[in-house]
Amino acid sequence: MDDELQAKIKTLNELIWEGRLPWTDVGRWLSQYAPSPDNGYSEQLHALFLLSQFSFFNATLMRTLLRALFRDFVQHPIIVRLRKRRHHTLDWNILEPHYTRALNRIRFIGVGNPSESGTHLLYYFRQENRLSTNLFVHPHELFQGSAAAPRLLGGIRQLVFLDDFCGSGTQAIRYSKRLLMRIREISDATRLSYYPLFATTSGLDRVRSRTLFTDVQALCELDESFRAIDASSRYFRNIPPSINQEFAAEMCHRYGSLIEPRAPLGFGKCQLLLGFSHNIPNNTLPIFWSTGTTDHPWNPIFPRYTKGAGW
Amino acid sequence: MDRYLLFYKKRLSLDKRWAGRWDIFISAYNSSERVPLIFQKVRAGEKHWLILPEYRYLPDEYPKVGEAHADPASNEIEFMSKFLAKLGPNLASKRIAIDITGFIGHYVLVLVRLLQILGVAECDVIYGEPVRYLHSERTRFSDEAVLSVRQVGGFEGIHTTDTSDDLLVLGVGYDFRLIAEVANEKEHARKVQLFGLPSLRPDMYQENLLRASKVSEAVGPDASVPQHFRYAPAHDPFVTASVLSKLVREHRASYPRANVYLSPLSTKAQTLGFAIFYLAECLETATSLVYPFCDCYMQETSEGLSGAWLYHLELANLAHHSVGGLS
Amino acid sequence: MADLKNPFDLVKATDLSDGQIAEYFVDFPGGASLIDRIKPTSPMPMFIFGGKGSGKTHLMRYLSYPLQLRRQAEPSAPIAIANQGYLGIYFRCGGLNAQRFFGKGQPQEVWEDIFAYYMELWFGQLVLSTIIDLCQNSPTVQSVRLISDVNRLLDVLPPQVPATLQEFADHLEFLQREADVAINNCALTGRLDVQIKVTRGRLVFGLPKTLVGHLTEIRSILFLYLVDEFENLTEIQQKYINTLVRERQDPCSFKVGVRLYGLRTKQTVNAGEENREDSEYEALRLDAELRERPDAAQFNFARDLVHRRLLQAGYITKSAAEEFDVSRWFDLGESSSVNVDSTLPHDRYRDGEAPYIANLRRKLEQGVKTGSAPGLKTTSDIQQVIAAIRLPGQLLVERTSTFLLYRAWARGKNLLPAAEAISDSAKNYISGSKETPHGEVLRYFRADIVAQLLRETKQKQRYLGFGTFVKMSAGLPRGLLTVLKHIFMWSLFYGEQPFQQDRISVRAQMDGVAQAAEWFFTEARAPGPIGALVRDAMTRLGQLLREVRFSDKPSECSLSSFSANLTTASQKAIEVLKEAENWSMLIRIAGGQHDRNEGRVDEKYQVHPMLAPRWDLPIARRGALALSGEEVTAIFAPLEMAEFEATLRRRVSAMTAPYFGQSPSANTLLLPGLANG
Repeated sequence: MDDELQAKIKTLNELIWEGRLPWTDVGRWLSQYAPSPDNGYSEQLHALFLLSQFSFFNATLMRTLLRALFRDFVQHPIIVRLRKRRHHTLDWNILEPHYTRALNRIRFIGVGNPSESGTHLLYYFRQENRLSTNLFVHPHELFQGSAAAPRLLGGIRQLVFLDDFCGSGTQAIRYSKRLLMRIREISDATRLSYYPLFATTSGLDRVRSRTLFTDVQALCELDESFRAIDASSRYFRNIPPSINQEFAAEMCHRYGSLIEPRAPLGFGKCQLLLGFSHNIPNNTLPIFWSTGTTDHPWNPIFPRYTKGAGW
Repeated sequence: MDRYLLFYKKRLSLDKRWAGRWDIFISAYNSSERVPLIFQKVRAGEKHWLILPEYRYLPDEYPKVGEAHADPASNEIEFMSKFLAKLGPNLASKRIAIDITGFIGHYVLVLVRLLQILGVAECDVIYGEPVRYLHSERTRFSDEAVLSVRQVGGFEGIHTTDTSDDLLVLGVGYDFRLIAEVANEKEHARKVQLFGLPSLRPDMYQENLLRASKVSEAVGPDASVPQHFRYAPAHDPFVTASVLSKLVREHRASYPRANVYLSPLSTKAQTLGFAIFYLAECLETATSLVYPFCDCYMQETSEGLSGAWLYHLELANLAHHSVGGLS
Repeated sequence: MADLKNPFDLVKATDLSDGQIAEYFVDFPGGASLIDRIKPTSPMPMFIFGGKGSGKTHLMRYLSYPLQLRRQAEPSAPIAIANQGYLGIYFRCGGLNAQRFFGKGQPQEVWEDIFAYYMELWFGQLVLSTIIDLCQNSPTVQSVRLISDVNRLLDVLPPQVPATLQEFADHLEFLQREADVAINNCALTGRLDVQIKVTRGRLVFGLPKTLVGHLTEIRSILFLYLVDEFENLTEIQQKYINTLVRERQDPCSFKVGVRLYGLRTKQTVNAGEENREDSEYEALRLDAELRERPDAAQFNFARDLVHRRLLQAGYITKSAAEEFDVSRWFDLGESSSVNVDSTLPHDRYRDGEAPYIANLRRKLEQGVKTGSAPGLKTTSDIQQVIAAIRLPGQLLVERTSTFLLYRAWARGKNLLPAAEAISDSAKNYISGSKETPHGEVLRYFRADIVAQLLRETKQKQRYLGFGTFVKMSAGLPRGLLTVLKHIFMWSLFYGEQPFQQDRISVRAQMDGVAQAAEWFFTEARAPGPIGALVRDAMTRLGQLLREVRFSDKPSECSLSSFSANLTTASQKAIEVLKEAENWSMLIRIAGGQHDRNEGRVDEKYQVHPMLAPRWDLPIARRGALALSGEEVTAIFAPLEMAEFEATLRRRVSAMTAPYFGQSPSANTLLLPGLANG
């Protein structure tokens, strides 16, 4: 089992982690767990097992997803509308000017403040989809006119809020609360869309029920089975005898409580095994990204900061 | 703007009734839950079940509702031709819907080709996504004894004598052994792997990648070089066609005399995309579709129905090629 | 780390560009040259048989025109190739996608004619593209007489008669395209609209003949058709090529490359006619040929291969291959040292007693209880034996003592005196005596005893060092490259700097070897149901050989082979065995095995050394397990699993204490002290 897992880690390293995690680094992370006992379950083996199940999206994959998001959520709906109104024509010469006009009535905003990954995302979203900078605004740029007679930026029909990851939904809720209310006060008709690349089902549900967003959809949705150590976890459906779910859960709780006391299983208790090249969401199990506390420092395997290599 | 991206597609809601009504509905019988579920939801004048021989269903296992077609045939083209002949004349005037969920890959290809030849201008294609695949990593979609890897009838293309820059595009799915069979058959060709991303579930891409890596020797040095990977959504035939178009065009720009082999081994939706691309751009070029033909396929590979897609296939607007003569 | 380029990445000849074919080509020196063996200038046709990865394609491409060009001093005067005496025209049968010439509602005879016509067009285009490039600076190639003669080769000319060779070539391409479309559409329409415009042989043979007739520079050149991937043709199509081989005309000849399993027929299209080896064609069995070369030659060949790769990848600068010490890059651990003790984990032993001593004790106890331990009756007897065998701090010698005791036991000898004799032998051996039982056993069984020690201490078997990898590849250069490729990747993964700094670690080598063995087992498989049968059979065989190897008293040393009386094996078993051989999982050993008792010569096979790691078998080949026909059947095609299990049990129990195959009751009849010895 050990060999199999190690071979899997090696493959992941070659194909997805861009060669950045040689065995020496993995070994360093593993050494923080108890060594394998003569009988009974091994912490190191379980840590290795969880690592082998980790879903990592590197820069190339993120770019592909950003293209998919634009194409499927923004571009295609416009095209469908336009074709239907014009006898289903496939002639792009006819459609193009209308498409450009429709696109120009949309503005893209990143969720969170400019230093956070939600906005970081915007740059690559724009680049990947070859969109004009005009289509990207900061929230304050949306409002025109005076305080007494405020107006929305002219001709805007839809505001698309982009995010890389929606875990508990808290950030999206908090961020958008005032902004959306302000917009709604001025305009009833503007479509307010929230499109995270990745989101948990529960996070999306919270955003849908607690915000004024008109439509909320994620490109990649993570249902309950993505909660790594929950009963319904997908990761433990087919496991060898040396792996035990309760053992893994207890281990994650224990280490998590030491290194991230506020969120031993990741923020929002999401228990995720998910990471991106630019960042690891703090909803992921802390054993992967936390640096610990002064009392209990920890050597993470996927440090949680923006990697220089970028996208 | 890529023409493929203009075609209509939409998600079908599982809770509501489906708006469409068709004259003829065609599905391939398969014990995966999603197939009979879709069959039930579709409203059509006639509903037909194709009993594909490779599933080895016995007559008492045939579905009771709808008309079952199990005529013996020596190959996939004969099977499909016989079936279409039974649907009567003037197919081109009927509204047709096809659920490709339960199909075996090469039947999708052949059906679409024959419909085009019969003059059908457009039809709707449905594809259902499962809640989960059976046995996740261990899912096997076919009996692994591959009988032969060959070109799909009607998709053989022309051939050039210079095989030094040939290209094989593999639509990568769970069945990595099939990938190895096809890759070994076209050992001499450069390989490009097309992965499903976005995938049905976010972790499926990585699972597919890991499985495909088991046959990396067969695929060759390009197997381990992510720069040689391409991506198209697992559920979207049109984007698949678009990605294929771009990559084949790029290859041909450098190697105009290359023979290009396409092998769709992933989802049915992507297989449809291969067919669309072929019919749109590859007829009478040095391009062919190759497939590992198996004796027998598993009757059930998934649980549940998590979602369904409807694609509007505008066959008349793909290309203008006739069957006979040179272009 | 990710930046270090893997010098062994390109493992298949098909992945190599022409430049790389040239750069990576390695031959045996002087008279042992493979190129000479292939005889490119000889008009006698040749079939080159090779397993996957034998280097067949590499060799054939090396002979092809583009590579010939590269080899000559003046690439701008291609015509100088005429001095090489031949013109290599290479193509792959796979490119024909020959399965499309079948069925679709057409009778077989029609397909035969179409295929023959198609091959004329194919060969014709290949010849012309080569000649046009070759003679680009030669004025005669424009001659009207030449074109006119070439045009006459066709039965039907196009309205626009070709005025140059290029136009003629274009016309052939047009005709072929026409045929492609018709063949493709036939699947859909049921009609096959192909008009045959060339008579058989007119282009294959006629075109070269016409060309040498006019082009004086190449008047004595041999047009060498290098037909690769012959296995991709159906039987009927192979008959057609066989016919061309048989009816070969000057100035043409053929070298046909085919996988071991790939020659479906030797017959031609004429009823009752068959090509015979050494009559109509010569045969070169490439991997067998490579395997039979002297070990040193094989080692050097492999070294040169690696040297070339490392040079190209920039790991070493210009140096002579002979001076390159490839072995030093691989850490052999301690396994090469005489005393293997330091590598074994003493702390794994309970009460300081090695596992094999504990086992021995247990078996002695069992033997005493059932009267199967000659000369032993009490616990103190057992203690005495154990004390004589034990030699703390000398694991290898101690283990050898255990081995000797089991051997004595199997022979029914009284174990007390036997143990004493063994104790003396051990002491003598350690003090350097030449002829001792220990020395004798270690001469043959050393590797096996070390293997047993590793197994008993729960360590992996060791396959280390360049020499080992060369032996593992056994005639398949791709095997060696694959092993090295994987080792390189593991080495990087472990944070090492292979071929730059230190030696490649033991664990990187072992992981790489294991991965390569896995690849070999899964890839080298026949398609269809027989593939699964072959793999299952090999697994059973591997299991049997392993159990024997690690038994208390193995009958053979370095067991990786078996000999078999196939005359009494079932048809199915023989079929599966032959397939295993065709797919290089088994190597047939020339000369077979002489059965001492009955004077017959049995077939002998070795498990391909690439697979040895799967079942902890040795790479070397010394002993062979003699199997009866029934046993072969039980291994290769048992009707039910129980058949094999019975064979396994019977064989292994004969080598296992305390009964060594006898039933306990038989032994109780023996009065202690009356047993021989």
